[in-house]
Amino acid sequence: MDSDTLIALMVARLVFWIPFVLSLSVHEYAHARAAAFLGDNTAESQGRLTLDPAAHVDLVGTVLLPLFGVPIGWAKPVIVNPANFRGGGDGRFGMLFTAMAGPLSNVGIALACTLVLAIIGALAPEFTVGPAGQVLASTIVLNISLALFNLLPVPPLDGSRIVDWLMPEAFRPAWNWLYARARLGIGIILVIPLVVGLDLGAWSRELAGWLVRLATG
Amino acid sequence: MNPRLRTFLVWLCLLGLLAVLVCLGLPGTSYPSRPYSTLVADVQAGEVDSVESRGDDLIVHPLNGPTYEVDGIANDRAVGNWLDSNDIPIHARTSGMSWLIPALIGVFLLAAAIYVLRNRQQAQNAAGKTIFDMRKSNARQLKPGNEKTRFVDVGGHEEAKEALGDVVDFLKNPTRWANAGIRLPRGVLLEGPPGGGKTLLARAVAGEAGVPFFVISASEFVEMFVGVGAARIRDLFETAKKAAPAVVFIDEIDAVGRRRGSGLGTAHDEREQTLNQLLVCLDGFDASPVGKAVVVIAATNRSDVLDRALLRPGRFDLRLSLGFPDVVARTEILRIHCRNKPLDPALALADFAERTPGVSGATLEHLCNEAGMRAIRRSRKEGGAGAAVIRAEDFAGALEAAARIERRFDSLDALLVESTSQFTQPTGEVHARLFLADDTVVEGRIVWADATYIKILPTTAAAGEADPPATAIVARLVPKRQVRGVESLAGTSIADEIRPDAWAKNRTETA
Repeated sequence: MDSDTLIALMVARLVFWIPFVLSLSVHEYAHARAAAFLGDNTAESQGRLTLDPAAHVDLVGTVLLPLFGVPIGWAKPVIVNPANFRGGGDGRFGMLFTAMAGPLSNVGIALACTLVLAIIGALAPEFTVGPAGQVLASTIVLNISLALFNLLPVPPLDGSRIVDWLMPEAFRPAWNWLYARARLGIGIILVIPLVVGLDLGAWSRELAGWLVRLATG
Repeated sequence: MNPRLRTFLVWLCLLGLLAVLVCLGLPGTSYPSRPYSTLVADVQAGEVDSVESRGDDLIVHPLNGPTYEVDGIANDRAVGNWLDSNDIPIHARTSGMSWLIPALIGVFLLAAAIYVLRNRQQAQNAAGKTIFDMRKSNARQLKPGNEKTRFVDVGGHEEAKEALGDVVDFLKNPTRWANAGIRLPRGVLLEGPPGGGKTLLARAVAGEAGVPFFVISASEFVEMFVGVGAARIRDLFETAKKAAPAVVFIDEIDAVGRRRGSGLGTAHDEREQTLNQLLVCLDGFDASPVGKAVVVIAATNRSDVLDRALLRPGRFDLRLSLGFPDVVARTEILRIHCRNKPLDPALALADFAERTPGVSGATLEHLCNEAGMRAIRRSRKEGGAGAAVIRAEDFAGALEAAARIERRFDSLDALLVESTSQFTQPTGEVHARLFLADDTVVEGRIVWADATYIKILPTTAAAGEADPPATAIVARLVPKRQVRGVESLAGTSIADEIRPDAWAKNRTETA
């Protein structure tokens, strides 16, 4: 690999990485904001109620792996204490609300980028196929895949909160057993795509392509 | 920096960097990919204007129609030769700004590294310490006004309070003393048995003086690594000087102040070095200006092992001996510790003080607490609601529990040693359960003892014997040691004449 290729690679990664970090920051901020809205300030007291990426980056999951081209990454999880939620109850709905805020924020970013793309398309259509359009399109793909990935119903991910909320009481002990082994979930996340041929990336590209076509007409 | 502003700036920087990278050209992604056959067809049709190699990919600019790229063939020599033979110019793509991108990446990575390291450092500072902090003394600083203890909270020790009152006045009105040309002791050494109120007095000084007060235990200086202790001493004194006028309180100073040269080999280097540094810091050459004094108060219960250099004038020249409280002081101490406890009006603390000769202040506090606990337990048993009032029986019970000796003694000697220490330390009234050499068990109250004889008022007698009178027990014990005074014990009332209090006083004077 000559140096030009290397530089090109690094630039390409960086161009991917910047929207990635910013999207993750928004995602984590959304969790923290939702928790704060419900009355739990645990995240705020840990300095997570901010859009500042520095508060959310995980050295390995947000910086090293993505910059080395590994197509998976994560930020520091936002800690939420459902006991602080207003209104009492077992806090499951609050947890669901808080968990959903993250993926929804990514959907929001994707829609916002679509809107920007549409505006660019209306004003200067030639830019939509240029680098700016490329970055916007890849940001849409990124955010859709972030939302989809996080909605997987596997314990450490946000999607598991939906399951948690819907889980019938009869299955709850087994579910809690699984929940306590969230580490296992990470393995499941890595194995499932191999077994069932689930390709989130393809789905995201499909969805994003639909959005982009919607924007650029 | 304002966190919102910082967030904004971070976003601005990242988006700006993104914009710069995008404007410089996003390599290799902006053209649709076509198969090699398309290129072949276009070349054969003479439709290709020029090609451009970028990495492994070949970007084709046709005469008409959109630019496209063919992936993975740019470095193929055969393809190059074939394009050459068709007279198609090949451009290697080198941007005029090619130096900028590596530079930007370098700067970015450096900034990111610094950022991460700084965050990590901050996290560490918040969570714990780094190895460099080892050289910091971990003295706790009491802010003026945080310490609520006053001299009135210390029972007894009138002389010590007076001397320390001078120190307090010196800290508060330094000019008065400077004008009189009086140099106050740089250090005050409080010595006395454990529980005698040394630390309490130091806290009272802090409370009275209203100046920054640094508390450290001397054992905190000593570390495994040579030189760390000395560094900590320096750090402590530097910090104290910055906060001057200030008081430094070093608890258990014998941990570093032990006489030098007593250790074997080099094992004690660290401690001696620490001591040397302490000696230097105590008098040093730099005389502090008026009103910027640092007074050192040290406490120990082993003043006999202290290095002589520590005790010379100019260092710890004011030595205050805090012995056990006498009956007046004990009453006062009991009153202080019972201030916030509900007492039975019929309870006379003075009577209780009478019964606790040679008992330290700390033990008295413990006894008050214990009596309170017993009162609560009693009121709970009685099913009574409301506040539990401490009665005399609670105090008596607490005292009895604290003073009980229950051990097997091989000889009368051992019992004497134990009862003596029991006398001088926790309480005046010792209950003993004796297992004698012939396996008789005697349980009773030791009313009088010294190195030669002992008298026990039995509460129970050994099985198989008719209740022996108190004096009989003593008479039987003592002849085994063949001491003087057997006869005088055999039925007279020496024990009644020499009261425990008198005995305890006698002990402290001759010790």
